[in-house]
Amino acid sequence: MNGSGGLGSAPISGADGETADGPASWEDELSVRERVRRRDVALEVWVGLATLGAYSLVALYALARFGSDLGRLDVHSEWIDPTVPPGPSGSHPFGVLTVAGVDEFWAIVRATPWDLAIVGSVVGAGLTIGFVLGGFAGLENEGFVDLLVTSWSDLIVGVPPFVMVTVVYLGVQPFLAPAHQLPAFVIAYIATAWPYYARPVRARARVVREASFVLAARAAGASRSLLLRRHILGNSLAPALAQVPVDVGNLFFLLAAFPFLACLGAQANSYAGLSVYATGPYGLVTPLPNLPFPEWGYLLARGACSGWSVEWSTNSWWMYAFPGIVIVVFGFAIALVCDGIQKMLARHSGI
Amino acid sequence: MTLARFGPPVAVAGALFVLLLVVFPSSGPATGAAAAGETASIRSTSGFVHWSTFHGAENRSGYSPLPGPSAPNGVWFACPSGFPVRDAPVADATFVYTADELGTVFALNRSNNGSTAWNRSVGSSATQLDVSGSNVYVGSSTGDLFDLKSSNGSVGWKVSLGSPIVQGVAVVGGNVVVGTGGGSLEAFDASTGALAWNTSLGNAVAGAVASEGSGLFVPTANGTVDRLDSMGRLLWSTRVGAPVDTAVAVSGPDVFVGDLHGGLTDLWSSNGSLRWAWSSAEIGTTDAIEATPAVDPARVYVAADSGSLRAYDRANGSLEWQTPGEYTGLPNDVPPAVTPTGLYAVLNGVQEVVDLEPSTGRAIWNETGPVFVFGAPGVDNGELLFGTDFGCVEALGPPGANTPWPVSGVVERADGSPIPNASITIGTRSTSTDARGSFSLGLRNGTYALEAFASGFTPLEETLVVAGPTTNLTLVLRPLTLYPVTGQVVDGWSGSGLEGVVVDAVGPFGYDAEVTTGTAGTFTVDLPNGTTTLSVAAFGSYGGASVPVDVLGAPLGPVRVAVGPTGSELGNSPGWPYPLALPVAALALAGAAAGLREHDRRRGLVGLPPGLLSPFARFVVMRLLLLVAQVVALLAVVYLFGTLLPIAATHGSASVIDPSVGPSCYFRLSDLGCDLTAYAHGFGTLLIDLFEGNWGWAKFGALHEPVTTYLQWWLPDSIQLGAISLAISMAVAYPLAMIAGWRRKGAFDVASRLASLAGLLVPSFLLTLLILLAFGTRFLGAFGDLPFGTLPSDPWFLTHGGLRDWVGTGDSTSPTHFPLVDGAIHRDWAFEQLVAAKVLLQAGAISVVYLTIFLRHAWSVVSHASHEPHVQAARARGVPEGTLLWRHTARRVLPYYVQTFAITLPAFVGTQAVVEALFNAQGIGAIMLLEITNLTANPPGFTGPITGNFYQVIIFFLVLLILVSTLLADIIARYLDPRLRSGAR
Repeated sequence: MNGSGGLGSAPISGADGETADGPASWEDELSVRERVRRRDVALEVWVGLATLGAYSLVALYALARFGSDLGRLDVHSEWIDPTVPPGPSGSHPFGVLTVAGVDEFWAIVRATPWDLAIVGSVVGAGLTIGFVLGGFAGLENEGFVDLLVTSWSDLIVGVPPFVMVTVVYLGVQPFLAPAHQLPAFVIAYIATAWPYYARPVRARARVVREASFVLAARAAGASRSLLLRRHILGNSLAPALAQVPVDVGNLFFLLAAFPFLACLGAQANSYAGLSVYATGPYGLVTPLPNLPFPEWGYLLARGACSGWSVEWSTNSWWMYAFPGIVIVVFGFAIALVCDGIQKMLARHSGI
Repeated sequence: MTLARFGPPVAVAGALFVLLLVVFPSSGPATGAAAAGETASIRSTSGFVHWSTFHGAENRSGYSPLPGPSAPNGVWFACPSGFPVRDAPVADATFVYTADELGTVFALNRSNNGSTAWNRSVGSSATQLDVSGSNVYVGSSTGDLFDLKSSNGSVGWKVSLGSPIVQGVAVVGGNVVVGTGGGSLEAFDASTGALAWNTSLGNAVAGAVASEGSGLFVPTANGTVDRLDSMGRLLWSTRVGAPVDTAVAVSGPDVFVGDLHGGLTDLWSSNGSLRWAWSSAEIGTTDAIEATPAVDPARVYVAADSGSLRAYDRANGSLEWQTPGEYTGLPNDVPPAVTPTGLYAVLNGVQEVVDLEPSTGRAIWNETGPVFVFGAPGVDNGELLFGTDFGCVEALGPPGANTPWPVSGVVERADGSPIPNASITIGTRSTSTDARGSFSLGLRNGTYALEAFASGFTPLEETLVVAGPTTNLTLVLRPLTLYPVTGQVVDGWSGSGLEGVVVDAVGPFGYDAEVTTGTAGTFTVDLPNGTTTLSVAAFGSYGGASVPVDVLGAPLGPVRVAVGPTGSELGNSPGWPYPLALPVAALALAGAAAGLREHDRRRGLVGLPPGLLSPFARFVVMRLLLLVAQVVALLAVVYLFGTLLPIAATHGSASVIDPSVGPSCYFRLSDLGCDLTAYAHGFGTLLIDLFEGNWGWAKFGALHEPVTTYLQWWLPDSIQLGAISLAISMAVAYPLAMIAGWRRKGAFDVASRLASLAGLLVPSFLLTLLILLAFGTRFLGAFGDLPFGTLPSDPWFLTHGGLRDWVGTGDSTSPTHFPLVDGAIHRDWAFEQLVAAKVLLQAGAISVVYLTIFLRHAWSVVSHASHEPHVQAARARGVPEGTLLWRHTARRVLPYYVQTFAITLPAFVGTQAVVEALFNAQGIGAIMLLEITNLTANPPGFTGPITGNFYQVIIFFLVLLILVSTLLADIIARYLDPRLRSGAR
């Protein structure tokens, strides 16, 4: 029933969304903000933030250098024999991807702003919506917002996320201009992703609202929005943060899996075992927004599709390894930041 | 047939086809064509009727399969205008159409020396004309698009785009597609001129839109080539190394792009990746290409700005020959035209028309033009047409082209008996034979395609050269070679054979036969090579069915023809208001459940009397009610978005179970006047069909069966795989999470956390590919088969005791459909060993991926449990850690494991689907991915692997699976953990 979970997450909650182990101890009466301020921020958070900062710098560089040309996969100026694609070298640090000779390194650089934007908006909006709605739902308990959050979450978790997003997106896609398809995809994703944040936040908020300091604040006449801002949200941060790396993983799965299958379908000379998609009358098309622009998941998909082979000797490993590494490092950085903040919160909240 | 087995038949078909061509080469013009004619030469000319649009046809290949003039003999020369005619004239049987630079369109009567039949001004300068049916489409540089009637030039419709229309209009799928200088592509209904769709490409369109099949190929000014589908959706976009200023030529799998830096690029039309490229650097000069390349089956020809003509091998891009060019200050931007016998080019710099041998580049003839700069050449019906700078159009043809000669002959069998009613087509003229098998026509000099056709005979195609009276033609038609095809007509639902059913076989070349089924529904019918459709008309309580059969020079069978209930493919649903009542009932149920839940929460006593049920039973009842409501609500969401799909809207049968409701509602939704009652009715029908098991029929490759049949075949495969991979996952995850979670921050914990995080972030298909990489070849070495598919491959079977008679259609095994069980029943241990190995490897791949997800959830449960008060207390008493872990905590975390499984079940399903798809296993997950990936493909109807409502059925299954598992998990957790029971409000 519960969509939460993840690294260092809250205990798995019971059937009706409450923590099974009863309220945690709340000896520390300081607000979270205070606690975080007083603590030295953990090393892993700094490492994670530094990595994300590096990614942002790359994104800014790409924006400045490529500007309006950012939306196209670069084509190398010289023609490269597709049968013997060159691996990493001085002139192509990450090797060459055989889509008309795309330099992998520059393609990844160009992709950075796109991916930061996609992940940023999905995680940002998911967190914010999940946080606010989940917090409200937990605080007011059994009110309208609670009903909305719980019923929508109950629906969403009944279908694998990638099916839900695809069905919703495909439904609206024909009505959209190409320029609006990516935003629509992001919105569709957010619509299916926010309950995964809201559910754990709600569960935690329901515990927190019974804590002594919240009861005290309420008795002192604190308004609901004040309660929400000062006490509930800060104390419900941890389980929502635990969901972030999971979501990033899901997002890249979605961004890469369908272009990959579509690429297999389009590939004329495919591998022995995968030839069903190539020789059949399938003509698979990715249901995602068309991604002629560079995007890590797309690059990974194209790389795995063109570079992978069942034989080691004919593997062009760089085509899928580098986009894969870029995604994993990025995900690790996010996970470090989230886990670090969670730990800092946990150390002082006694959970 | 499994997925895995689609490959070999296609390969065999291809090989047979090639064999046919090799064994029966065309030895001479008369007899060779007859022998090879069965399938080979039909396609070569049928695509080309007339030089009707920019560069000949809408694939812009510049190729005319009919030869052009072998000497520069004037047929006619007409000067309808005083202004330059630069584009190639286009033609139909009656007229040659052309437009001058002032924007006047002329129709020249080709049977009357090019006299002007009509003219029509379209305003400012006109684009290249496009003749389609009885319409001439032309755009103007001011952005108006005209539909002119070819008979008299009257305006059928006119639309204004507001942006200049780029050279060359394409007619695709009933729409007229034009590119604009503003970077958009606009499609208008060919008959009404209504806007069908438009899409922005971001960059000015650089040349005529090329089309082949449903694909549109558009070059843009910044050097990209975009492929769109016929609905205007971008499929791929590839950038070539330099700006492009002309249309691309599409031919078969290739897209040829010439660029302004002199490069020529061959892209795969399927995905836009590079096939080969030829850079101008290779000849040491930049010689821009501003003319669309011409393509014949062997070579691609380029005219460069310098006037140099070059020919490249299509397959690998090697330069076969080139002519010297020289810069004259006048760029040579006129696209050449090619025929089997000549490459026709206009060289502006030297004002020459040349005819070169396509294979060698040697000149056949050349002629210096009568007037200045020539327009592009076109080859139609043996005539070479081109415009001149002074508003003239010249038609060159063979000598004596103007005299019609009598052409007559007889059509007969090999034994000399005449064939009446055979149809004869020579060039554009056609007739049919009389009772004595003779025919006659009048034809001018020229080279014509001759086609003789009679029902039951192999069509005859050959080239006829008329250079004088031709009165003694003898055309011998051979009867079609027939092969016995066996089959069975069965009831699709029960699988039992149906006797006395008439099967109608409509084959190629007008072949038609009928046969009635005998006992057990079996039949045998003789069919010619090629695709024959076996169809059964509706009878009794059955609807009809039709099954395509491909005969490839050998007997075939058995072919399964499954028939279903009358009326539709959707099963029988009760009429209104029963369907409408169902969503209402579901809503009421949801309300009841919500109410019950609220009252339970508040410990209120409304609803169920408090003493009636135990709290546990009460919980179960409430959850069951909720479950139904959840299923209905989810299906409502899927239905809503499913009916929005454009395929459903335009083709009426695709993704909604009741095609008469969803699509019409879609259209009405767009008019903001949706009939909600009808919509709800459609949804109710869907629900009833789903719950009653009326799941319709679906196509999968060549199979056409009830959805239930596919499920019967392949669901056991998925269950088998899922069960084994879950068992592996659980067996590994339980101890792993216990150890890792117990010692937080230990090396094991950190390693497993890092591994699981990496596993989460690397998409599962890549992990699976890496596993395949590690094990694929070793597996082949050990078991003699690659680890693809669930069952052994055909080669394995053939080398290990032959095909098994208990493995049937769809690779389903009997009697249980579970391959492992059936293998054991038949004591086939070699089979058993290989299948077990395959399933274990596939299950292992699923487990690795799934464990990374599962562990993330599981270990936090353990680490939390390790700090519980009773554990702390025991630890303080000196109880060993091992005892604490395995005796105290191990049981304690079980309920949470069960719930964790329920939470991660969607991830598990997704993982299994991906692994099934990659391992090429027939399984429901793979089909779901195919279905989703295929939803937007091939817009004109569902021509992909699966048609019908399979995807809704699968989503229905998924929803049920996940929700029921969640419910079971909650119940088990409550059963295992008394605290949850008592603690629950």
